[in-house]
Amino acid sequence: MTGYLIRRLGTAIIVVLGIILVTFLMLHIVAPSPAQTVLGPKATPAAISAWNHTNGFDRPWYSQFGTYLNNLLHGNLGWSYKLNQTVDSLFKEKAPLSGFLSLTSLVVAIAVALPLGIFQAVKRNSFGDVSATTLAFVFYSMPVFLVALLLIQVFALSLGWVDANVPQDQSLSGALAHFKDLILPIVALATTAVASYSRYQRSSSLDVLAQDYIKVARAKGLSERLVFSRHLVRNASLPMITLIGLSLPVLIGGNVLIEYAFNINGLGLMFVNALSNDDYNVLMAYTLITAILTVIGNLVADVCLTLSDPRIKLV
Amino acid sequence: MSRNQRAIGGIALLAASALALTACSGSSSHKKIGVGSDYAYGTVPAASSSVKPGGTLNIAEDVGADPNWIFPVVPGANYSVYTALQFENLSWPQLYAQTKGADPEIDYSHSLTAAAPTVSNGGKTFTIKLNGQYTWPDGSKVSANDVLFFYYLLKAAVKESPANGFNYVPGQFPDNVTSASAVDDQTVQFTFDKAYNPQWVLNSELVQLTPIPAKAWAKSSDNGSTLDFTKPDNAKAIYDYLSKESKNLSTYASNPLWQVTDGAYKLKSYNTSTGAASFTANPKYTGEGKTNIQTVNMLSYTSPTAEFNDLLSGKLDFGYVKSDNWPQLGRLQSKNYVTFGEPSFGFHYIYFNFKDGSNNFDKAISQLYVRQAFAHLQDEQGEIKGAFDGLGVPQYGPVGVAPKSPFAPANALTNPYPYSIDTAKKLLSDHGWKVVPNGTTTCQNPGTGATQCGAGITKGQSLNFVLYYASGVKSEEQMITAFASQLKQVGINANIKTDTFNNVIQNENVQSSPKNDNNWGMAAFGGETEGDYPTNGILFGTGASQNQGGFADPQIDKLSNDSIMSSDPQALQKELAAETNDLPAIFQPSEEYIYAWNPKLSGAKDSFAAATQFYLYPQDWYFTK
Amino acid sequence: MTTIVPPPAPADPGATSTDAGDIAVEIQTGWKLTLREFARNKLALLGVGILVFFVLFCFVGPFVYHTNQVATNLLNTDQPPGNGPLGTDSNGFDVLGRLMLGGQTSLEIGLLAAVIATVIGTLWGAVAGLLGGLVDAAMMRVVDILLSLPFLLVVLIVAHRYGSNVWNLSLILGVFSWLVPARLVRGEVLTLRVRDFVSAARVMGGSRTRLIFRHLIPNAMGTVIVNITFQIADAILALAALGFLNFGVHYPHTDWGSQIADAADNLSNGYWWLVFPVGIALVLVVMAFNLIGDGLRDAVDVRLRKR
Repeated sequence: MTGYLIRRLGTAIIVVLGIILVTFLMLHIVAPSPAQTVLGPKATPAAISAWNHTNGFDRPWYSQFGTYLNNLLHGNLGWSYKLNQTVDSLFKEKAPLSGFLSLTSLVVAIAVALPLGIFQAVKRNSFGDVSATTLAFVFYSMPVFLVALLLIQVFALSLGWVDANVPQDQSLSGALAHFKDLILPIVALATTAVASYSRYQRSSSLDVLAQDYIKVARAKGLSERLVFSRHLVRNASLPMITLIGLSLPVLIGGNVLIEYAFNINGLGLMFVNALSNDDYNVLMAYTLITAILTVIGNLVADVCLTLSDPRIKLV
Repeated sequence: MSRNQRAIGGIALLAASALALTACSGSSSHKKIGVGSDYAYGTVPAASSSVKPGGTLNIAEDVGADPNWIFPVVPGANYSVYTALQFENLSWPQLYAQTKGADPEIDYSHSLTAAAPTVSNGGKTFTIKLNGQYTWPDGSKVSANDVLFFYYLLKAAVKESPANGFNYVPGQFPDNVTSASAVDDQTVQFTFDKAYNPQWVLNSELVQLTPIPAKAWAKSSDNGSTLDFTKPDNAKAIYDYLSKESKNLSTYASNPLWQVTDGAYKLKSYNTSTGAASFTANPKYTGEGKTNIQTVNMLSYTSPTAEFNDLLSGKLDFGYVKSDNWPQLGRLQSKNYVTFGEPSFGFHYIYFNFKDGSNNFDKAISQLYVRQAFAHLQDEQGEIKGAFDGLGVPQYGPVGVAPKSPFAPANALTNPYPYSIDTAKKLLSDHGWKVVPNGTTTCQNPGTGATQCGAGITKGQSLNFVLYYASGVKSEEQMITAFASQLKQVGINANIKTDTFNNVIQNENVQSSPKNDNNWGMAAFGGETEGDYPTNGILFGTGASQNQGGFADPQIDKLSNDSIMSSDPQALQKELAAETNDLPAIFQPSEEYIYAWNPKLSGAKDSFAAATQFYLYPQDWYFTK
Repeated sequence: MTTIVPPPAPADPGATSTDAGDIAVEIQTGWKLTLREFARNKLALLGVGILVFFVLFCFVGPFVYHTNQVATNLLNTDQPPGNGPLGTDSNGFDVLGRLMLGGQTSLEIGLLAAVIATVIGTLWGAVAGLLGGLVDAAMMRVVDILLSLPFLLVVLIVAHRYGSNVWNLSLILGVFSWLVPARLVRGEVLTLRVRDFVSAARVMGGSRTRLIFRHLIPNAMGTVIVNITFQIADAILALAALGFLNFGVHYPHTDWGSQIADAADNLSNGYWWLVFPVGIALVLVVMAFNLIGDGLRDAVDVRLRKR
């Protein structure tokens, strides 16, 4: 067990190092220097090369990578020339709202998808199952921003129940004060997640229902209720752990689109704006943090899975 | 929701000498609105006399242009008109207010000096007399020293890096000042290395000055002693200290430095995450206007539509209406909100590439008649209707019909090349081209005679070319595609390509990317916003650093040189007239910048009109009873 | 959502594979079986129907329904349906014609990107699986690393710099989405490698190339083909996301995502016809590929089961 954990952790660390290298190289190729951002688009080549020299951007890539790594180790994600702040402080300011959106929609999605999938499996091919499957299939094929536009059209423009934009006082507490207007973004994010989660939950529940131990339990005369709670829910929900671990980048990517669609001043919108502004330190930091979160998510999911699934034997 | 270049922040004004870039913002449609005969949209009601002192004014910050630099020496990366004119200017007004209402001339009533400087020493020395009306919190008058302080810090800043001065052009201000001195407490004198055109010195160079508190700021640490800022080492240390403080956003409202103001309002709170700011009236304010309004809140928005919703709901007292929401202007008007707009001073253009050797396009457009044919094919009225919902004004040269510049030449006001496909056809066929509408027009009669195509143009050559534009701005796309389809009607095929705003500027540029010379024939990234003295040598002068298309014409060179160097007061008009005629580029119509405000908000007409040029004067405003 | 390809949902229980016998014959009958099984799947056939409709609509439609998609008509912008079957957009283009043009781009990029991804992924996975050992470990770590990078963000960064035409966008989407097929193919190869027939081929002295081309690839084909349909669906969705954020193709071309982006600005002005027809087309096409993919997977499973 400990051996497995150590090996798993070792791989994760190698992967994280690889991520840092790949992210750095990618941005180094796409944008070798922020000179143009700092000096303006009409800066002369001479001015740019002078700036690069002063600021060390004419050094070979590995030397720049060394500096970057060193900064990272000291928790320094760089400076946003455009926003006149350290990238660290930008993340500190904007992460709470984005994190709140992601987590709330994740919790909502799980709370809906788990029971829904199990229900569908138990009442397989019933009217409810078929309609849920169909809906899930439609939403699974629908980009999250289209769900957002649909929600805006119906609930904000046609019915006028909520506002199409979240309140522009966009600290987390400011946004929570108008929680009503956060419902649509959360629903949009959760809907697409439910669409894929419930599909998996249904399949894995069907899998479990076909297993011998369920049959044995039933044969033993265990009440359906006990079979249900003791065996089905627990075993069928295990695969979801992996899926949730895997869906972290999906949630974060979805945040980019959703924050853009609803004008939420979070990390996702900052990323899109940084693209247009060629604010590469922000882009690099966001990519890196998301990737590392993904690795952590997968690691945690794996560990949870191994701890909770008696069938998985560790060598 | 809206996209249009929102991160670019719409516009970067060239406040004084250099030209800055603007990206025109997008548009949608519906054709019942339009501009009046004075080219303004709507009118500003007369000031009401029932003043209700006090109150809170809620204003919108422009989307994607949240201010994040407070120190009035602003680096290029942090500069925007909004930062300079709507954030810093409230606390530290510029020496010269550069807009009079919406018109591009100096407004001495909002300046710290009563009149133009006196010129002596054979045109080299400029003496500025302060009006003594503005004071610092300790009661002392804004002095000559405070003006010099700014000059020395700017000098130190651009010496450290040219990027530290958003407006810096090497060789110009402050490089060309040979001496600067205080004659007395209220009089300051600048001597230049040469005798320049005095209009240019005033409107392009001296306007860059903003008096800042020398007594409070001339130090290199929080508790440092006052330094002699005329020593370069000291000036550098002071600049470094102040710009470091300006990078510390979370201390903006608490740092005692930024409370030393001579302007009408001072910062009370600042949100580092959104850039939203709140100003409170400066109790010691002695300048123009009266701070009837106690608090000015500047709210931050992530989309023009979100801002528009707040205007509709009454949460905002004063805000812009961007083109996405123009179809809904009527909803604001039905709530009695005042709506008013004028274009900002400057121009949008599609520039020719005079080095495009592919298909000999450079030879063809070197012929004035070819450029004239192109100009006749631009349907400005149609573009205004279609791309700007009618809320735009035509523009035939670097200076448009509105806002009115005192330097506007006669041909800026009437179209020298009115839209006419027939005229374009005739121009081409008179010069030996076989015009094939919707086909490919070719040169049939090469040679340099009066009825021949012109030097270097070969038989059978077409006028087809590649046209680049910056994507993401809907109105630009509409105008470019409209132009291309007009060209097609005389057999000129524009192969349209798009790239990002920054890429067009960098790649479709014979100065910075000569390797691309043969890859494009015309390009458009948006436009330029101009200062009050709109000379364009830097854009259209032979080999000039921002001459993206490589236009070269000795006559224009001479005239634009005259605009800066000669003492002829008509020099600039002559330059602008020649540029309008010679077509170094195809000039495009300009859109209106439309603002809406609470009917209970009143004040001098000009102070509202000035907002269309991004100047905010809440000290001229008040709520009515 | 578009950012990552989730592992394919487990098929209905019961699908377990058994070892192969005489493969030459088996493969043939196997494919017939697959086809027959697929043809029995009504939903999959519906998917094929939708797809055929949209391919015809996008590629043949413009020859039947002529519209001018190059010259703008600025005096006829944002007209509601009635003025043309689906109205006009902000350039005065006919929306129905625009839909066809955008569909061409979306389908082309989807297909190209999926093919690029599958080719890279298949080769990578096959090589890793066959060589095994350290090489395999290293190659799979590379996959792990790239798989941890947020797909949408990475693609946005690269597309912002190099994007905006069909080839570049296909390449960008393809180059960043070969990871799942690589994993799948490697897994398949690892399973197949230990199977009798491959060992038999080895024992009989078959060359490695022959082994790959005669045995492994045909056997892994099922998985690859199933995956490619999902890959197309994901590429179309990813392109739509790029377009929505204004990093899609530009005039004179268009794609469905960009069309939605242009129109999203105008939703509050009531121009619904600019958003929802495109949206419906997008969802239907993606759904068609997903239906076909599901059908194929079930059918391939059946082949494996019956073999």
